[in-house]
Order: sequence, then structure tokens, then C-alpha cells
Amino acid sequence: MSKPKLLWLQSITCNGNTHSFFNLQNFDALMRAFDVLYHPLLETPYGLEDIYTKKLACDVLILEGAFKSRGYKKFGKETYALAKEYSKRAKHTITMGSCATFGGVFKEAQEHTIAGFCFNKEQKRSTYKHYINTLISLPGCPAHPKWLAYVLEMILQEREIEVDEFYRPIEIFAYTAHAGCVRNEYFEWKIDVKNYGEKEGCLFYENGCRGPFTNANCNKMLWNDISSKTRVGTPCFGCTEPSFPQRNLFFTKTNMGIPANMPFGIPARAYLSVTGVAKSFRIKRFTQPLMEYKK
Amino acid sequence: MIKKDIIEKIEGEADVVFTQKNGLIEDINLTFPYTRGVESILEGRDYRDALVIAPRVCGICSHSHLIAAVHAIEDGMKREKIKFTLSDKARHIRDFAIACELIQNHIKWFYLTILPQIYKVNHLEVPNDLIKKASKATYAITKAMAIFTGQWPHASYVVAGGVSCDPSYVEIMQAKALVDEVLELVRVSLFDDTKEIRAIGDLHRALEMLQRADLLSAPHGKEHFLALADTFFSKSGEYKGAMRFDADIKKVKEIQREDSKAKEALYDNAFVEVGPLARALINQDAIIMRLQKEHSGNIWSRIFARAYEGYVLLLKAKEALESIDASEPSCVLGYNKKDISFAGIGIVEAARGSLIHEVVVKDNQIHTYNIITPSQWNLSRGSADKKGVARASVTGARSKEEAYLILRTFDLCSVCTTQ
Repeated sequence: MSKPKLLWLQSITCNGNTHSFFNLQNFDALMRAFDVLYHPLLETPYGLEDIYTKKLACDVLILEGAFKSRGYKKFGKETYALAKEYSKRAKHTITMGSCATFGGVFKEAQEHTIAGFCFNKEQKRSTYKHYINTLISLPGCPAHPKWLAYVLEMILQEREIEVDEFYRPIEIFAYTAHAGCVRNEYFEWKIDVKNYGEKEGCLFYENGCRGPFTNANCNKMLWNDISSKTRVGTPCFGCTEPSFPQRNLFFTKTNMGIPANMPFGIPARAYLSVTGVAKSFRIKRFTQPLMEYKK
Repeated sequence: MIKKDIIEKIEGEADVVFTQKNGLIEDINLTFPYTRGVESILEGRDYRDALVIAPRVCGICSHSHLIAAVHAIEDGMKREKIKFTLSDKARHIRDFAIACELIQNHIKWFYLTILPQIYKVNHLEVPNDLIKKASKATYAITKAMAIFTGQWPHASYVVAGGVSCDPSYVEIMQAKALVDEVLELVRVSLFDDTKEIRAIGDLHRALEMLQRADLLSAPHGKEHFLALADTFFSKSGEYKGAMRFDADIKKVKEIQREDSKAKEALYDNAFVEVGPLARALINQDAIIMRLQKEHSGNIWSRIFARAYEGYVLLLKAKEALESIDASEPSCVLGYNKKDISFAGIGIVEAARGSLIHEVVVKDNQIHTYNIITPSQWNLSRGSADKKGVARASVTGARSKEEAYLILRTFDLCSVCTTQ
């Protein structure tokens, strides 16, 4: 049986998803399962000119980068128009990263003219309906290498991928970035981190962590197979969400001292009740360092 | 004869116009038709947002942009008399991550950019195991980095006054094993370091193929080098006419061309080469100095210097890990909640050379942000009588593939150039 033809097409991008995916441990083996027509790093049988000027048959289209309807051309052709043409013919279109999915960081420079392939932040674009039957969204800045590996494996095995309202695979995005965070005990007992560079404390209350209301399995699957932002004391910036990037990323937005964004699905009343109870106890263990070195 | 083309797989693409005369490349013009406007995205934001947005300039050197951003903020704070000294622990962790990102860059550049092009110039088929070699080493070194940075690319674990991570020796042990793994790969495929450093395996094969293609004799460089940052692995300086001078950031000038979105960077009104070869010469590295004498400014010394820097950085990365004292504080500055205003400059040595971030902050908000990337130095066009570095280097090349090989020795980064 012939291998599925894979085309990796870039628009307005930093190449972060290309490099993120290259971190996949079995990158070489997985790529060999496909007939790779074009890829930004690899030697491929076709060059960009072929991609832009010939109508190549492709089964799997991977899009990286944000789209501008007019004004981002190569070989006299708008990249957005080209992406739409390939997407109509492809069996699967994968938007890899938040730029290709929602618009992402580069949308910030030209808010009204740059967007994702099918979504403009959380809004559906007018052309959206033409592509949804084959669309898989993998937002993230960048997307995790295993997210794409999972989708490609499912395609190879001809399995259906269940998706949510943004066409994100539920097996990945049903989780929050908070799930699996090693600071969860501090979240439960409402103890915030005292300073950067400490093992103790939760980053949700003061430091802008968006983990409890961000769809992603970063703390379950782990980045580079070993860590995550919150594991190294960096707040989750919600980079998989349509609203990324927010402003004042290192600070939690509060109303009257209460976090403005609640963890997914938790009513403010429930949150406040639990917080009141948790805060009424002083748990000695959480007032002490997790470990201390005797000099 | 004028020929139009597009050079691709250079972290993006660039439009190229060649002028050929008598079969030789007479001149070349690289243009970048689009810019993404990262500087404008930063303006008006809280200055700490730069630690999240700036890495997004570039997928392959995001960490260098993070460090440049934090250096600019810390420099500005120090000028405003906010006194602090980074803990040795924070310094070693930053240095370790810097080393890892550079190693990752150097590996990918060698196996995915340069070596395939050398095969092409020799009209040989590119072997299909190069990707696997690059992948294996990249996987291990980025994993080692992520132990401290949380992820790669696009980490934001560095904050003013230190780092956000607080590793124990358990993490350090894991990172060390991964570095050793990469060192082993390098010792099998690139360098024999049992007695003196010697190119072996794929690196030696590159040399043989360059010899066969008669690419060792012609000079491909301007012999004027610059490194602006003092780092744990290299010193700043200017190297000109085989003499070393101190570098001065005040001599840096940036100009905007009308027909390209890329800005040009000059030092003391001259176009200079930045990158691993520049760093090695400024540091008077004996091995590279000897090589440079044999093959003046040519592509082999640039290739060897970069691969060699990767090897040196692996040793430095191990040293940094072994120097971490887990009991020290990770960050010496607390959260700053008061409004502050400052202006600062951050300089780092990124994989492709000196990278500068300049920030002006008013009441916590970024007023202006300016970035000068390594490729802006090497790719500056200049004029017909004062050509930029890469442009001058390809003059006289015998074919398009040969010109592209020379250009790729500088490892152009289109995405950085069009920040």
C-alpha cells in the first residue's frame, strides 16, 4: 500500500511547531510512514515553488502559522488561498499550533487582518464550514510533539479522532494544564508561591497561572518527555486557548481579591466556599520548605 | 544574466536575485518581503510580558531571545539602582540552557542544513540517516534543557533576578546523563578528542567532499569579525586584520532598506561577520586560529568552528551542571509591584552570533522595543562597493548550489531577520 502523502505548509510563523515536532523521540520513524512532499527542515522531493505552482495530491495537510487573507504571497500566490486549495483536496487538515488554529501571537500585530485557518480567536471564520469535515486543531505555542504524533498515528491506523467544539482531539484537550501539576496540594489549600524559584506554592493566585482553565495535557504528557512550565515554577500562560496571548501574563487578574477566571466549570460560589474552608486551617507542612539542605 | 530564486529551509525563506557573469555569481540580493512585527506587539505591554512574547521571535533560538529580553530588563533595573547579584545557581542554570540551545542549533545546522548541501554540490545523493542522527541528539539535548526550562521551544523560566525553577540533584543527575548521551554521539560521528581534537566521521566526510568540490581554496569571508557579549564560553571583541580589539556596543548602527523588511546592522560603519567562527577567533582559540591560517576565512573554518563550538559547549554544559549548588536561591529579586521606568540593553551570543534586545519601559509598560538579530549582521546587503558579509562571500561562486552552500555556512535565519 502506498504511504499517505504529507504536506507541511507554513504561513506567518516562527517555526516553533516545526522544531517542537522535531523533538519527538521517534520523529524519523514516524516520518518514514509518510510520503513527505514538503517539510520546512527536511530534504523533500518538492520545493516551495512546486508546492505553490503545481496542484499536488496530498492526504495529510499540516498548517503552521497564522493567515492573512491578502498580503502574504509567495510565487505570486496568497498562502491563505493555497492552504484552502490543498485543504479542500486533503483527507486531513491539521492546524499545528495556536497561530494556525486561532491566530496566536502574530495576530497581535495586525488584529484585523490575521487569523487562524478556520478560527479567528474563538470565532468561526466564514469559510470554516468548507474545511471542518477534515479538520483537526492542535493549538499550543507551540503544540506538543506527541499531539501531532498521536493524530498522525490515528490517521495511519484509520481510526476516528473524537474532537471538541474547536476540533481539538478530546483525548488530549479534555484535560486541563492543571491536571498533574506537582503544585496541586498548594492549590487545594490555597497557598500561593512566595517568590519565583521556589518549589512550594501555587501559581494560580498571584502569578497568572491559567492552568485550571486551559485545555491541554501538558502536566500529564509532559514537555520534552520530562517537564512542564508549572513544574519549573513558570505559570501556564494558556497558550492553547483562543485568547492567547493575554496581557500582563505574570499576574492573576482579580476582582475584589478573587481570581477573575475560575477553574473550568467551577461556580464562583463553590470556589469561594471551598476557599473559605481551606483558608481557615493552617496546615503546618505547607508553611515549611518541601526540603532543606543542611549546608 | 539576472536570475530570480527563493532560498528555502533557512528557518523560513528569502527571495534571491543572482547576477551571473561568465558563469560565475557576480552579485546576489536577498530580500525578505514580510515582517511579523514582534517589536510592535511588545510595545504597550507590561515589561514582563517580554519574557513570554520575545521567545516567539524564533522557534529555533527562542531561548536566546528569552535571555536577551531578561538581560535588557536586568540592565535597565541596574541602571535604576535596583541592586542585585544573580546567585551562582541561577547563572549556571541559565548558562546550561544557553549551551543546550546552541548545541541543538549546531547539530541541526550541521546535519539538516550544511551536510545535505555539501552532498548536493558534489552531485551525490543525500544519505537518509542524517535526520535520525540530528533527531537523536536534538531529542536528548532539548530534554536536558527542559529539566530546568520546563519545555523547549518557547520557555519562559527566566525572570529578573534569577530563574523560576528550583532543581534538586535528582534533576541535575538526569540532565547530566542526557548530556553524556549527546557527547557520546558527537565522539562517534564528529570529533575524536582522545589526543588532540580531530574531525572524524561525518565532519571528516564534509571536509573530503569540500576538497573534492574544490571549495577549500577560495576565500569566502570578509575577515572582519564581531562578538558583542561576554559569556561563560566566549569573550566579546572585534577581530580585524588578525588583530583583536575590544568591542563597543555604541558602535552598533541599524539601517532600514526600502525594498526589504529586514534591517541592516553595522559595526563602526562596517559589515562584520558574527557567529561561532567570529567567537573562536576573538577568543584566540588555537585550533581555529591554525585552521584560519590554513584556509583564510573560508567555509571550512566556518563549518569546523561551529561544530567545534558545539563540542566545547557540551563540556561547558557538564561543568555548569556540576557547579550547581541546589541550596542557593534561584531568584534574588522579589515580585516587583511598584511602577518602575528604565531603559536597558540585553546582549547575548546566540547560535548564529550576537543578538541585541533594547527596551525602554515607562511605568512598567514597554515604551519601545528594538531587536537586532545575528542574521541581520551576516545578511546586511550594503552597497556595490561596500558589500555585506554573506553577499561578498558568494561573489565568484561557480553555481547556484555553491552559492547556497556558502550562504548556508552562515546559517541564515529568515524568521529572526523578519521579526
